[in-house]
Amino acid sequence: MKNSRNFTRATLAATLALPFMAGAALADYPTRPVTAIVPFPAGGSTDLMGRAAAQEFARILGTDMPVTNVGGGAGTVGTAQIARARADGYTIGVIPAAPLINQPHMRETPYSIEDFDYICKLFHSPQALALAPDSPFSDLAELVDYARENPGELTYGSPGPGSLPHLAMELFLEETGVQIEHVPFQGDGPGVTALMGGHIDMYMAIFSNVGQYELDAVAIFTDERVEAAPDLPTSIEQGFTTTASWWGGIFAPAGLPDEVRTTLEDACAQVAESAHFQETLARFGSFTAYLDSAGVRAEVEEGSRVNGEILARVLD
Amino acid sequence: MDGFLLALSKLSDPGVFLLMLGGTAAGVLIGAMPGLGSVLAITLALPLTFVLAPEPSVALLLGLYAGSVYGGSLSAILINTPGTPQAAATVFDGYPMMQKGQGDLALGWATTASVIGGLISVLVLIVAAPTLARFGLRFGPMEYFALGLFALTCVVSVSQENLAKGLIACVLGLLVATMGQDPLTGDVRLHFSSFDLMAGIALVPFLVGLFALSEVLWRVAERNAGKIEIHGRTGFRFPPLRDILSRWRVFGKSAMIGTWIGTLPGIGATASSMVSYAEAKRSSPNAANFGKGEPDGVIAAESANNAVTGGALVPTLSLGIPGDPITAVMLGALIIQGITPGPRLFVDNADLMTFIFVALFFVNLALLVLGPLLGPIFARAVRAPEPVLLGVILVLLAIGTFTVNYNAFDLKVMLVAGIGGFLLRYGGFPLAPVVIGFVLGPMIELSLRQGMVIARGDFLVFFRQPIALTLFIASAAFLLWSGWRFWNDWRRAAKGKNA
Amino acid sequence: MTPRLINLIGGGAIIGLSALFYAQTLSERFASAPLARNPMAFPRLLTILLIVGGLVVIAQAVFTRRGALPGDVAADVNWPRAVLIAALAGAYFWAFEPWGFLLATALFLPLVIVVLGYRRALVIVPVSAVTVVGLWYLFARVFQIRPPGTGMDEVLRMIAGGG
Repeated sequence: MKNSRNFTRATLAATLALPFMAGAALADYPTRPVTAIVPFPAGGSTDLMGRAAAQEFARILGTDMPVTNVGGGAGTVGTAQIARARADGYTIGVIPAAPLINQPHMRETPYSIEDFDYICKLFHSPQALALAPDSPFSDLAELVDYARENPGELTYGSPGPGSLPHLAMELFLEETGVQIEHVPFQGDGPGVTALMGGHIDMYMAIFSNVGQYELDAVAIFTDERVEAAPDLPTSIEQGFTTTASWWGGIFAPAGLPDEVRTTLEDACAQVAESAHFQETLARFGSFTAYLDSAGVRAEVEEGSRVNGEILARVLD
Repeated sequence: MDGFLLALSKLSDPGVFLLMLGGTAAGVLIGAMPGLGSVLAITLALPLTFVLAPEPSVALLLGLYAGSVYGGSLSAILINTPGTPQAAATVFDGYPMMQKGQGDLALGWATTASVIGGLISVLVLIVAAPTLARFGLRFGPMEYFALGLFALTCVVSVSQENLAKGLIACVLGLLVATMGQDPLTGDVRLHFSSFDLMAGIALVPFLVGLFALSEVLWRVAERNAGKIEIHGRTGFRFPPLRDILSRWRVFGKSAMIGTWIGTLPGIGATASSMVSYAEAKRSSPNAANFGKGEPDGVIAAESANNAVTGGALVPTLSLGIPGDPITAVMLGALIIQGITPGPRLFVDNADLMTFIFVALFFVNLALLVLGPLLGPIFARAVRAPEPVLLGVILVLLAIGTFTVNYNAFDLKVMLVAGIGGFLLRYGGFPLAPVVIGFVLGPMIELSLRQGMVIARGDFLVFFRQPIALTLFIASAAFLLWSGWRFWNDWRRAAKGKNA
Repeated sequence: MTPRLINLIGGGAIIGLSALFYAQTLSERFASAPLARNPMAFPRLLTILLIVGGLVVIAQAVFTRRGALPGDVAADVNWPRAVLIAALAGAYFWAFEPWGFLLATALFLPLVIVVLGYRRALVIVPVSAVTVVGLWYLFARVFQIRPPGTGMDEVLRMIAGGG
């Protein structure tokens, strides 16, 4: 009986004491598993990136890195949880850009881009414009000319309002000054089905999906052609200036201790170098895209400014 | 034929066979726990598929998939709580059978129906996958809207006696689903200035609260609810073969409905089992017993939701477009294996395709063995003293719901949905239309407005598409039929003939 | 309560709830948006349908003999018990994340079993212990989703370390 009471007391003491002990162990970070929050449901593109990255981080840091999926609200719920987490390096986020640079311009979010310590940019996949199977257009210029003569007649699909493909297409429309109606879908599955059935005229997709669905792409929005699709012309070589990609990286709540931050930044650089990581990404039509802390912060700020202007125009 | 034999020999490899069996059993257990569903089951296996060869991975994933869909029926029948959303329609007649002391038989019917539904869908997958996939492509926004509307009218007409209350319940589900981000413009709405509500209401906490938590409250507080003596045997009993054969029509039709709806991306097993249930209720010779423990109701729900497994694989494999979130995760697993789903899969990877068919076939047969083994274990657990059982269920609901999104707000949603569900029960409102309205709401609204954007305000477009038009007429017929029944009830009640 | 009263209150509650939601759809921001691009149009349509439905239920209470259709059965609810259990569940859900799964459940599960009227400590204690510890390992180890708060590994280390 006495033993069992001791047991209870020990349990209680353990439970109560634990939150206060977290700070003591910082000297040799990491001493326990690091949780990686992915703000999208399991199985999606971000989740696959997150799990591939977590595997590498776990190897390099020498500790477990369980992935927690916090879905909902187009990524804002999970992103808010990362912003709110204790800045001790034991919670990091694998975040694609949209919840950071798009969503805050569409509604109030309980975080801003100031609430994060930017560890690195890690992955990206270029975006490509795919056409319906019976489309009469063979290049980007034809399409733009037709749309200019028939404003509002063509439709384009995207995986959702405020998604990176949506913003990329709006940026392109702004550059060319033509009008194409936006028809958002709930994710790529329904959107690509509608494209293949000819219910919409074109679809802005992440490059990884173009190959996967064998879509009929007309342009990839990059500076140079990609190895995986050497015949697909870029927007630049077709005489336009818009480039766009779906990208993301490793972010943590603002205020990490310096040595933790350095450890994570070094680890991230190693992950980007890892051949195994690059191979895994390549299978999904994505690529490593390493930028250090300052670089990714600048890219987030720039993206937020540009997309903020587009959204202010589109949403009205 | 060679491909078939090759697939069989691969499956008979002890390792592959054990993975398939183990996957199916694990799927059943996960599916039976309220809150944990098929997506979790398959996500758990993802890391394993990184290291396994394609065939064992596929066997494991298919086992988890079919097993979890089937597992939801166990808790639906035994504790009146769908273990997965797909089993929501199984509750209607499964639990009343349990109350009548025929729980063992209800498990038997559910198992038989799941196996037959699954097998039929595999056969359809083998014969007609490319054709079905091409037909699915003809579904644009207008067709999706018409189909969604049709599913809703089916469900409303299922709601027992009172059409007005059924409609209210359905619209309530639709309304709750509109909270949060507008799927078309991305603006937030109906959020009462709360960030959590801006993200919208998630399916699992809403469903678990509405069905399971309200059931717990109801059992605790309703004086007649606890008094129904459960005197059946704890166990598992297959229905006699003669009975199965005499109900072949329900089996066949439900399996076809499930397979067909499964092939359409974004509709899913929950809706398909509801539509199938409504159709069975309309056409079954035992229609009067529906809701009171009619095996046809269990059959309709269970063979349809298991048939979705084969159906959802049609666009996943032949177009590379997942039919539901579960096959989306599976698609990811296949790509990890270096397999590219799509039209070329049937040519480039014919052996693997045959293996997938054969494996899915045997997974369904495995249910025939695992059902009788695992069903009684759950049935016995349900025999625990009620306070202990209800306490443990509450804990399961909390941890199951919380871990889906790791979000404490979901627990609040579950509590509110539970209390709301309790009050709706008290007011005589059916719960199923709320759920189906909630599930289909975003699809219905989005496809309606997409159609309006594409049609540029020309509403007649909606009626010029033959598929959509057919569905609109069917919906109107369903609604008129229910309205006529409602009017008759009303007149009788007004005259006081039916006290 | 009689079926008539339930229907009157139920219909009224539906109308009240719809009015609350209807008020949320009255935003000037979208007034000029075309119908398809107006986020408020669809919810507003739904609230109007709900109000009509609520009126039909009230009419049913007023104009039919029993105040109800044949399907409406008055349930016999023990309200204090319903409120008590809902409050207990609410408290548990509230404590779930801040206190952690282990502590919250270890306190709540025995409590709710006792409140529901089961008193055999020899059953309650082992069942609770097995449920709490078993679920923690199931989620943390098998499902790889760590429940919130302190984990079993830390508890064990604490016991071992504490002597």
